Amino acid sequence: MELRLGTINLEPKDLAYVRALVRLFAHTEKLSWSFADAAPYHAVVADPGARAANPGFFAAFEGLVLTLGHLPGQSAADTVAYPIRANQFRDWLKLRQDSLRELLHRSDTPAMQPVMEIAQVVSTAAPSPALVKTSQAGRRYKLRRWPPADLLRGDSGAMRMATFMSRNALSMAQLAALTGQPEDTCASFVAVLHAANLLVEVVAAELAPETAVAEQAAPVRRGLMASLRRHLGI
Amino acid sequence: MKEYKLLITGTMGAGKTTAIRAISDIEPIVTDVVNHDSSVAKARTTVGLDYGMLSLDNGDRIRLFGTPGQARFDFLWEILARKALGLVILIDNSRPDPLADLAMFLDGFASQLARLPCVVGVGRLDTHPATTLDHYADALEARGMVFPILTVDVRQRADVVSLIDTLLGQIEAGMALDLP
Repeated sequence: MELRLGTINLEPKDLAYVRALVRLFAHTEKLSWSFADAAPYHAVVADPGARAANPGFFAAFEGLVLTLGHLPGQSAADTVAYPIRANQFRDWLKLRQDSLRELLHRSDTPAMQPVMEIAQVVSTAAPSPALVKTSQAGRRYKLRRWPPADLLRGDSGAMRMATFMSRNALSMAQLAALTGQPEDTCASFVAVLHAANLLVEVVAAELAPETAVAEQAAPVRRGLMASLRRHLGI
Repeated sequence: MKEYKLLITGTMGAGKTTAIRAISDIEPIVTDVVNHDSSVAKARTTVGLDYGMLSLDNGDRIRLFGTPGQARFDFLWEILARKALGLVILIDNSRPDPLADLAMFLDGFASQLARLPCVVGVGRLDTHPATTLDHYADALEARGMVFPILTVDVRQRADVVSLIDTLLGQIEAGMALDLP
């Protein structure tokens, strides 16, 4: 069963990061969570301000609300401090996935109901994936540091995208064309890198002059790369 | 027919010869000799250079060079790096200070690495986990460098192929801007 994760009053950068991580973990960890733009939800990620303003309300749904940042007196198990660490977020999703599934197997327990009610009374301001993608159109990104191992988790697609961005500032379209990954996947990965402060944005005027030389050599080199990959059985 | 070259460098015992043997079409030409360095538990080691070759279907050839590992041969590194397609740095994580080893190669190839595609392969990480991949990323970041960092077991052909594939990605990214 697919589990729906929503958000409450998150900053746009946190929202994009959470959305991207959920998509990433659905692929790399085979988690059952999907990011939901609208209610109902099975669990939510909340801004600490929203939680502080309505402590009693959120207390009723303890264990199904992950708060970003630390609030005094709150269970550390349901908190991820800034900067948001992907592995901590993943662990929380796994834990709640297991507990929700256990509850769902008890037929007399209305396990999903409380969070659905939260979803209906708290509005969110989640931008659509299309909006996120549009906001990145035309921008070129380059890695400032090779991503942490717990972010890449040995995923070959992520490694490939990171490899290309380690060498050159690329637009989303270029990244998709070079890696063969869908643009949505590239956009999600770039959002994760961006939120982790691993990217620099490069404008066209800042691109290195050797780029022109590289472009002239490109057709020949591409043939060589393809031939070499075939030879190695890649 | 055109000829290209790829370099594989690394400390003594990091597995340069083994890596070349894993993918070369020919039995590598090695210049290993008896090791007299008592600090390294290895009977033979590369003091000159190793050589392997890949013959591609279009007639082109890729020459694989394993550089001597010791810093006293760094004059050879610069010569070998001329007109190379890319560089693989192999690190042996079981050595006393693998981050210093990385620094030695970054210094030795400093003038080339501004443009030369490069990938770092870290071996024996499973048995010697004290220095993590993130430590290597930190060390590169401190120098303003970003290269892919992978774990590698050079005895496994798939690992060596993955390393080369990543290096090819670096090369391709350098010629990427004619894309939409």
